[in-house]
Amino acid sequence: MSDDLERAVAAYREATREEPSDRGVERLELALRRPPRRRSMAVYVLPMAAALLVGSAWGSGALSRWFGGHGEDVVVPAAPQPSFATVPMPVPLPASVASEVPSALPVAPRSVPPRPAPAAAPRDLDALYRQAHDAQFTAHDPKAALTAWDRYLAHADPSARLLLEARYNRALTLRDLGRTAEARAALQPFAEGDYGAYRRDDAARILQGLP
Amino acid sequence: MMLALVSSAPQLLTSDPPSRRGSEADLVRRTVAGEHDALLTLYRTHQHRVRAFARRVLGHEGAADDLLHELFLHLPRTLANYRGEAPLGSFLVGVAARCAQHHVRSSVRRRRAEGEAARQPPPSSRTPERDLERQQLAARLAEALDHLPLDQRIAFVMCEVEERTSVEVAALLGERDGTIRGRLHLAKKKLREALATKEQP
Repeated sequence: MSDDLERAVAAYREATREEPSDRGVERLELALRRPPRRRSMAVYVLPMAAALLVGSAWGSGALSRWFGGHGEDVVVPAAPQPSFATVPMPVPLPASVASEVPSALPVAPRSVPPRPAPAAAPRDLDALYRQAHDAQFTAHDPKAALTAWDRYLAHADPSARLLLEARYNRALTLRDLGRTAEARAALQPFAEGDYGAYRRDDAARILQGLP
Repeated sequence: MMLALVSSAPQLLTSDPPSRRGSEADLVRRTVAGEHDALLTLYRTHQHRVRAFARRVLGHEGAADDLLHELFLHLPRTLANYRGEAPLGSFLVGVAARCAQHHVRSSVRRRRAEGEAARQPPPSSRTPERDLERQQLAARLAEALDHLPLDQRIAFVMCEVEERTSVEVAALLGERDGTIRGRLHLAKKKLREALATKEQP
């Protein structure tokens, strides 16, 4: 190896050397404490049971009676809207987002007490996460990403697998949108170690760079 | 010459002292059985080496943290296939190398998002001139490494930066020794050119 490369490797090795530490232990402990996500037997059994029921009903002609028709004009009920579009957000949203979101969401009647959004099934939650992640890192559309992250966080319960990642990425979108004060508030807990070492240094560095 | 290409005997793969291997084998068994304490002990023992490797391969601290976290979160399942052929630390680095592919794209995006400074090795608080020169050298190499294909970067980091033999790296990655040597040769050729180019005024 040439002298230059050899010297560069030695310098690089030294600069990137790591000492034993507890960095990341809290994050790992937190993740280990979360209950394992096991698929309930219902996931497999219910669709099979539904298929059997519909099949036998179709064969016996009961299906058309259920829908009040005569067999030929069976009306298939429309698929329900995704649950996130019909439930109120349980977390307070920043004013500017809150002003945008309600126009897309039906307003709950005043007589109905607000209830928190039900936690989405892990697979749905992963899909929401993927949407938000794609909006942020593939489409580079911070506005869409922020809406998607808020949607994910509204449906994620405190033990959600990617909760911290979502919060952190949401903070980055706030920064990308120039909403510095909100970004600062969102990054502060990371920088102060509220979540252990997870993103502590990154958040601190970004905070330093904020105007 | 720090070249690690020399074909060395495979016994290098089992260079840990027997007592440590004994206790580590117990930790491995307990981790596979789902004992979190054992897993955390393994994490505390090995995380710095795996993280250093991940940083060198991904060029981003946050991405390295994610890889490390994911690797250890799935460790009970991964270790079910561990037969003690290599020291555990090296085995884990091999696993990290195989996981790196999934983290490269995100590390590139995040580096762009967070600014290029994130990939540079952290500057030392000591700043005599010699240190400064070493930091600059390290930074130039870090930048040149970013332009290597991942497989060449992994081969270079494992062989040259972390001083493993090509035989050991081949065993850890499940590749042939010749393949690793070839990647290393190409990596060094490109890095030499990159460093020479940067030196010109």
